[in-house]
Amino acid sequence: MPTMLPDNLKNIAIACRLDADRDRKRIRSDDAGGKVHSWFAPAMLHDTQGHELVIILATRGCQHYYSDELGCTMCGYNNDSTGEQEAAESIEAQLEIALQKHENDIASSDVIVAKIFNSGSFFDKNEIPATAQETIIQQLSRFSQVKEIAVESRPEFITTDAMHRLKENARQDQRCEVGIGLETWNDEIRLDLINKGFTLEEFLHAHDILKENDVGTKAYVLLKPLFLGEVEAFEDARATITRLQELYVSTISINPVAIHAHTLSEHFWNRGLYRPPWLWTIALLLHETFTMPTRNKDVLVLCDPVAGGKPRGPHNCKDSTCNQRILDIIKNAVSMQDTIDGLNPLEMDKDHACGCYLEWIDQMHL
Amino acid sequence: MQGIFMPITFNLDRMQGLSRSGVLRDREARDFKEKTPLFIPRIHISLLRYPAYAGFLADGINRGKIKVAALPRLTTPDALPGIIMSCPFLENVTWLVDQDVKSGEVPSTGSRGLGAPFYRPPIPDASIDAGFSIEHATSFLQQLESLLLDTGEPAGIALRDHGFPDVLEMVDTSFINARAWALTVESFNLGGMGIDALVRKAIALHQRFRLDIFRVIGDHVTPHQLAHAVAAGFDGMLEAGILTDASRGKYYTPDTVVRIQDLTELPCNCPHCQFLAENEPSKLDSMDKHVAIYLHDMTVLMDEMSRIRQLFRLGRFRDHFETRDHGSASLAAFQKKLDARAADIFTTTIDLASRASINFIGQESYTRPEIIRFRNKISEHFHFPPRTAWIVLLPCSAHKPYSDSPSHAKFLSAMSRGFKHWRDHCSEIIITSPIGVIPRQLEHCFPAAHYDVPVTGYWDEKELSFSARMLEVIINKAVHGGMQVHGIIAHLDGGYRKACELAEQSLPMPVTYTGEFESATSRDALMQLEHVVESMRESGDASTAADEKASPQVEDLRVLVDYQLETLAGATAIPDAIKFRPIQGGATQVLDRASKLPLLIIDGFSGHVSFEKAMLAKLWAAATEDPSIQLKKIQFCDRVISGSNLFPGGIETVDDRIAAGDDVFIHDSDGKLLAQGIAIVPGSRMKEMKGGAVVSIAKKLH
Repeated sequence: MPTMLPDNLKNIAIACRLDADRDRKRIRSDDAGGKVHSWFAPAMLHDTQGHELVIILATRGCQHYYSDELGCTMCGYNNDSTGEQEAAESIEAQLEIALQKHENDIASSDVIVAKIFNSGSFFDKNEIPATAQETIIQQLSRFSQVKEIAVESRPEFITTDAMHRLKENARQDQRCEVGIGLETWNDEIRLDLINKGFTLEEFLHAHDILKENDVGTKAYVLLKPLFLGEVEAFEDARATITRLQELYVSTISINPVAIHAHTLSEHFWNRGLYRPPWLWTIALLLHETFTMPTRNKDVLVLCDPVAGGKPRGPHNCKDSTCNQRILDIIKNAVSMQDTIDGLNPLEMDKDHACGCYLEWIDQMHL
Repeated sequence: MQGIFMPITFNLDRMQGLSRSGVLRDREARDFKEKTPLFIPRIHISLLRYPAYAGFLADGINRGKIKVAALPRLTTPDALPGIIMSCPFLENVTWLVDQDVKSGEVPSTGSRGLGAPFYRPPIPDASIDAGFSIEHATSFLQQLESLLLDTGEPAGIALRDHGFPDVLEMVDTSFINARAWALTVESFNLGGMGIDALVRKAIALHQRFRLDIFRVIGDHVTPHQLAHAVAAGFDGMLEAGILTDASRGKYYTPDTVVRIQDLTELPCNCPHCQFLAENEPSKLDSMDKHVAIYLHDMTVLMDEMSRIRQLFRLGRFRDHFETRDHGSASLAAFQKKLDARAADIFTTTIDLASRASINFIGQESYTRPEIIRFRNKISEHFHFPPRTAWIVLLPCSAHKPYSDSPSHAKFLSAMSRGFKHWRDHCSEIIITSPIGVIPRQLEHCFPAAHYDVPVTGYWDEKELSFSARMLEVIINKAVHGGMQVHGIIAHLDGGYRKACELAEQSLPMPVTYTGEFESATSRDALMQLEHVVESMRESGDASTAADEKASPQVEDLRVLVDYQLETLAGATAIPDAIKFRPIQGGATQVLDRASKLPLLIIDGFSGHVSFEKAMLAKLWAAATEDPSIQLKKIQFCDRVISGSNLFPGGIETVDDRIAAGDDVFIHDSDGKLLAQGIAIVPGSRMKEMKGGAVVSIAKKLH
């Protein structure tokens, strides 16, 4: 599908990609150890608290980004991609290095969700060859502590074949989940403002395939894409979450925009034309999600703001105390999978309210 | 265009330049009537738990200060009854409700709880070029048109222009003009540097959109900017950015914005400032203090808006607008550019039938709409009376009208001593700044007799050129038009003389200066004036017997009527034998000596002429017989006019020359004169309006 971006924005997006290309040259020259990134941290699984093993593989990167479509307006994850096809061996080597690095972590935990990110689509064979896909899943299935495996993909790569590769190499008891960047239920916003390049219908088709193969759908909900104001963004995210709960996806992951380098979002942010969402907005959204009458408790709701409290990430004001307080509340609410005291900004104790709260009320027209 | 029922209507009642005053009415709630311009607060449901805020709202609503408010975006109309139950004072508010354009969802309108919806495009929030903004605005309007196609519902429409004036200049206005009762412009930042863009927007708003659409600013406006927002033609300011300012400790005064942390005492005694003063205002360590600042700021804003409304009605808005220029460089730049670029518009929208006194304090006064129109009107529609063999140039006086001033009494006495019947052969032109020149016949007309200017003796280049230019225009017009003017006598000192010297080379004859003196009222100067006038008599140029012409008073009255009606009707309609009779209120009634019928009344304060029925009949008959007499006419659809106003629906044809404040003659399709009135809006814009009076009827002839 051709880019929905108008010419002036296309030109800016091209310029952003050229800037990113300069960094990619360095990544290409790294060895496997330099290319892969990983970490191990506490995390919510579907049934319990546990840990996450996050591995970010350097692959060619997202097909959508490298096409004439120029990628999503906010996504800078391809800054970590190589831009060139990586051989299966290289990718497998990256995985091996990550698993070795966290050997002790894995051994120390009972319940782990392994999250494999590759700045694109796991099931895109041009990004991760089919054999490498199988090897990755096989490797993760070796660890009994790994109860869940999560990968990401655009809808067009979620096929029956891809599901076979996934399911045949995972253990029977391992819960598999595929994250899809739906971002919003609204086609106009997704296509025109985010430049996502796929329709709601395509997402629903992919969701059906996942469901048929007993694979969970983790739907990403983007909070405040470019060109959407604070209150419109909140309304859109809330509406999307409502529909996703009705759809019975396995996980809803709320992703407040953070400003990545070499993106259209950054271009506007630099010019004072875009501000990442307020933490108050995230809190309100979570509160409404956990208390909506149609709340489906089988659907896991995640929200882990990137660069929370920083100018490039979702933040309130310059007061780190104000930011951290809300970030902690958000984290606790997510771990409880329920609203908690202090989450709903509209009922906030005024002794805990920072002055910036009024500015947020102003922007949200509350 | 007609026929769409608008539950909330906006009626203009006066225009002054681009600014307007009017009334918002709700047809279904007859007790709802709100004068504009108007500040529209947002009701922050989330702050109702702060007693100070709830109290502020309750007080404002109960006292009638807050009647219209914007419903919070995330509060649906369904939730309103519940909110009102917990805050009963919110019952008496008419709500403006934000509405997204969603297919198939058309809210009901007009009922008193729900109020009127404003349709707002959800995207885009920002834009980097005008084309992008125009494209999205166009798409939004098309969606709205489809949505409302079958309903006939009027719409409040919010336009996102992202600061680009191109949107207002180029977007297709057909749907807006057909269906909108209100239009919000979301970007109009008077504190920024894009002044050119703002001026373009103001002009586009006036020229391209129906006059009786209620215009709202959705951008942040502080108290000292409000006058400029009104001057740009906005009727309402929707609350925006006040909470943000309060969150940052920004404290409003009528003239400026300061940080509360920088104040050592608070220059206000409102209850909110009293609270702050008792609680270390410079330390913003509690939400209650932020809320108090917000409430103080809101109070200052609402007070300033109230002040503007009153000053507008008193005819003093322009003075206030100029005072606010000094609030910032961008405000001053806005005023200068608006005056320059909207000068042509001003000539049709400024009403010269005012009764206000005006101050010409600074250079910003040179381009006041009243001045522009008055200068243009004198240049185009003043003519010297037939008796004018000599033109006498005199300086203005502090006391108005000039004839009543001590200095002019001295001039007139000196001239009488020189030649008893000088008046039968002369016309006087008074040189003044910043108007330029004022013919004696028009010295009672607004604003000639109503202005005050600091007298310093210093004339800048602009002042000199205004006077010089006007002298050139009216004298050359007279001479080239065939008038036998024998000479120009100038009794001028200081800057007045300089202005005349500047014009001299362009005048069709030399100027005779009465002498060189420091003061025109000195004994020597007056003697020189007397001698020059005497020599005028002896020259034989003033030899025509006075009784062969109409009296100077009659001629001057004809000149005044011609000026006011902007056509040469006076000579035909005003007989030679008339009687002047002083009446109540300082006015003068003029009667026909022969028939004893009253012809007209000259207002003692404004100099405006009101025509009696007999005079109207004569004027109409004269115009019917002589096509060169071009009265300003409106053809009405019926044979009888009821009520005291004319509305757009009754108009069949209208003279495009009609400006606000003009005398208009309303006739039926057979050419029978039905009434005479004063235009409220320009003739060229009357038929586009959906409601509201366009002419105030002065006299009915049936």
